[in-house]
Amino acid sequence: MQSLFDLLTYTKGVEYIIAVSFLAVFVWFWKFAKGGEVVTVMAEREERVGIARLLENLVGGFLLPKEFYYHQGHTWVKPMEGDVVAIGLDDFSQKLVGKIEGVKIPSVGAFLKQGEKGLSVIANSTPIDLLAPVDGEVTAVNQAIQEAPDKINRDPYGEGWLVKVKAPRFRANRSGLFYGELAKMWLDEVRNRLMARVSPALGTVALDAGPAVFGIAERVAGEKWNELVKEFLLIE
Amino acid sequence: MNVIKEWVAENIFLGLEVREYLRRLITPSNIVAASILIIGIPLIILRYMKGLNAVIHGSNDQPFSLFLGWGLFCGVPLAATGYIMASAVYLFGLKDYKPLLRPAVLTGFVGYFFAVMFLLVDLGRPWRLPYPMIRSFGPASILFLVAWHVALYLTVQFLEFSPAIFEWINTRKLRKWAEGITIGATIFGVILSTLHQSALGALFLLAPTKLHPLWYTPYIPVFFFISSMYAGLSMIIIESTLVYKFLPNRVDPQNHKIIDGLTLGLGKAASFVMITYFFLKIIGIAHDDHWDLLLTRPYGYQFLIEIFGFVLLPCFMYVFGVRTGDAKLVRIAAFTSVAGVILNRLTISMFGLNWELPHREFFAPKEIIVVLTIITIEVLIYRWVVNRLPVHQTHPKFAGEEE
Amino acid sequence: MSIDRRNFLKLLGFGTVALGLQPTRAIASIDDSKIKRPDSYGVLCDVTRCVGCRSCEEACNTVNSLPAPEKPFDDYSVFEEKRRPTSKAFTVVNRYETSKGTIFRKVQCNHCLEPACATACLVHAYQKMPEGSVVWDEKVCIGCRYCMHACPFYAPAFEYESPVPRIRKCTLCYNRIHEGKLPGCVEACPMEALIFGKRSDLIKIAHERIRKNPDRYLEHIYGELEAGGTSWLYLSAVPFNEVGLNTTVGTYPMAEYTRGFLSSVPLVLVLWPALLGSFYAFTKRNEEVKKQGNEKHRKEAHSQEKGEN
Repeated sequence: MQSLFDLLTYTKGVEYIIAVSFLAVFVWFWKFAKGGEVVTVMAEREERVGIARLLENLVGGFLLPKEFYYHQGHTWVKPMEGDVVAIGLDDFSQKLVGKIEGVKIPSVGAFLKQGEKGLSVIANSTPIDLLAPVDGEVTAVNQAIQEAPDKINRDPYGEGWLVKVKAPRFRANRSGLFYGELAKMWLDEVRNRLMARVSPALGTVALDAGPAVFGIAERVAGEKWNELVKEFLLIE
Repeated sequence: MNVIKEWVAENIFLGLEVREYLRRLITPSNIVAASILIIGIPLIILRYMKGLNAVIHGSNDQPFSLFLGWGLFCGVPLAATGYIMASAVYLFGLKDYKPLLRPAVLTGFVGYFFAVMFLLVDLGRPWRLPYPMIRSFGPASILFLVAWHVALYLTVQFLEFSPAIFEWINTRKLRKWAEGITIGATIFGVILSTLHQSALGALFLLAPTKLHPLWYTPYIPVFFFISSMYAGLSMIIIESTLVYKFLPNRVDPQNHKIIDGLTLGLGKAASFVMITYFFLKIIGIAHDDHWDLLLTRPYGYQFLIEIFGFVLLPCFMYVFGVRTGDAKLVRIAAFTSVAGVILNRLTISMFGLNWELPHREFFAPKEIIVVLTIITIEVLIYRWVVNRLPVHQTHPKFAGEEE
Repeated sequence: MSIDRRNFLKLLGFGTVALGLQPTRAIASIDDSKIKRPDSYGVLCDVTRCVGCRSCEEACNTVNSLPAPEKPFDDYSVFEEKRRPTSKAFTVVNRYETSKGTIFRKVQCNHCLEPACATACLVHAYQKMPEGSVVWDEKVCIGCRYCMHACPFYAPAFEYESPVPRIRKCTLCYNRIHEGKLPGCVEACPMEALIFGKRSDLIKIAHERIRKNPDRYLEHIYGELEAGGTSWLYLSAVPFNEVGLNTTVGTYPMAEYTRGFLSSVPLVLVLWPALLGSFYAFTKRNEEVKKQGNEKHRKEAHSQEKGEN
């Protein structure tokens, strides 16, 4: 009969051999598991954390104040006294285009037509057209944003207003604008369309709170950012 | 009073009129569930009125019934989701997995809660369930450890889940408090899990003559603990697969886009645990020099099928899935892994126990029905919670409020 | 007799210490001072004297007021199958066909010195009494049946048929011992196959019998060391596994197998908080560093803007 000593010598020896081979197998396994596309996916993920963070903000992220009316082209309308309304750029488009470097807005007396190009902002040294949300005659132009265009980024619904317009047909125009619940649903849809642009293989969403990131279009589409902008702002 | 009525209408009846809500309850799956319950609940009542033999074939040689074999021994590792995900997010900083954290904690909480329910059906004197905690202590027993830990852990899981409940009933202050204790609860939860997952295995150390030598090893506690890790990871994948498929509108929209990526990540982690576990099992065989037992019928073959077909195979399915970005393969691997854990636990607690006794009876038909009934209740409750509480969906009033 | 490989390995695994039980040397009786409670009682069961009359079963039934059995005690057809103690019968006699012919043996709780059932019970429902009996207390039992799993001899039985079930097993006639009487079975046995006395004395008697009749007995007292020693001791003409006694049980008390795990529990309770807390601290620190990096970025970007304006 075998002694305990012999038994231990044998079994422990076998166990140690197995354990050491496990170490070798594990190293191989690690490499094997990491191999392939996942490597590039991980690298891309690092790069795109900015978008990911932004997309997380989407739940409460794109501001959509209740009292405003919105046009599909992402401009807003706010009724003021009489039949004068204020017009501006909404939070979504401000984030989409990035840092606004300048504006090209019509002077007092010019006419705007709902759904047609009439104003533009400049980002990345490129002029970006916007669709006018109402019909009317320009009665005032925001001076502050000429000197500090980034006000549009910082306060798109307040100090960043673009022009004031006398809009006698506002009631009729309203049928072409989103408001309240409808506006929320519209923005949800926009958001989903934007997310479809982000490759699903990247997968993850970073969830620490942080400043929203500028220039979604550039982050998402790189050099083709202008095309993306035009697509979402409905410019041909 | 009105506030409460409004809240009930919104949060209990999902904004539907009661009649409409009841009408909508009639779906095929609900009918199946109801038919199981109609048969099963009277059986449970019968068990309490007439003793265990009313539903099981009580055996003096084989005292563990399917209620324990499934409810406790399988239920607990499958409910390991909570501590795994909480560690990942809070202790290892993998914030990407936050969308899966609450579901994992809920799965864990419901799993442990129903393990206790199964115990209440199985215990000879269930009204004495609290005795090991308050009346009479047997600290030499590993079961004593299990009892205490399950009780404590259930509490911890409840506390970890409570922010969701507080959001649901709209109590900001309580929610803030609950969020504050999360780290402590997580660490405590991991400690408890380590101990009781392994203790469940250690229960079998006491009777070396009864468990088949291929499964009896001093390493059982370690095996149970390690396998609970990949069981938990796989269950998170399974749970999200099922919820995203059957209750998609209860999930935050952006999560639908990222779930595949998260699934791949979980699968990767599981694969590492499983390759390690595979080697540990081999070392277990070497430890007692049981190589020759591997070729015996039927237990040797069963063991080989278990470690090759239900550990190594899903391990590599995970790895291949991760390498090629194939979330579907990863999901199949998850189901296979969980099947393997169930097979392992049932073998150790039932099939492999007293393997040398000539006559052993396993499941009585009524026993199986009762088990199905309790599982049905468990699924129904889980579904009820996911439909109402902010588990997979963010509560609109608390959106953006991260700790 | 050939031992097949599986049993051989089992012996290696658990019974290596059983080297001490091998023949050739006259073993001094194990040092009784090492066993606690040397004055506790036990029963010496001389299997060579049992004729299978079942008087012990009947006596046990009477003494414990157990219900009448299905087959009466003089019905020997019960021997056709191997029985075990049940909730209505604390002891049974089985018939075994062995290498030396038909042999009968009485089966009951062996009242281990280190009872596995007591170790296993999470509510401390079992007690090893100083007199030797292992006794179950109804007041705290929750009916988990872990004791039944733990017992290597399959002694405890459970009243599955009752909504308020009890564990039922031989008590070594604890109450009768206190009244100075013999256990029911011992008193009833017409062949004097059962002797009741101090365990230490019984071991001496058993060794004497072996010494005086080496052809009649196997040179081993089952229960002297098995499972850490039992109060019920057996002498037999044939190997004990042939009369249904488990020879792979080893000499460790069952509780010994759980000591390793139980000792690791406090270690985990102390080490894990330190370990996990460190992970958390490490992670937190990483996040802080990242955040500071972001803050710096933002401040730089902001001042750039300002500068441009």
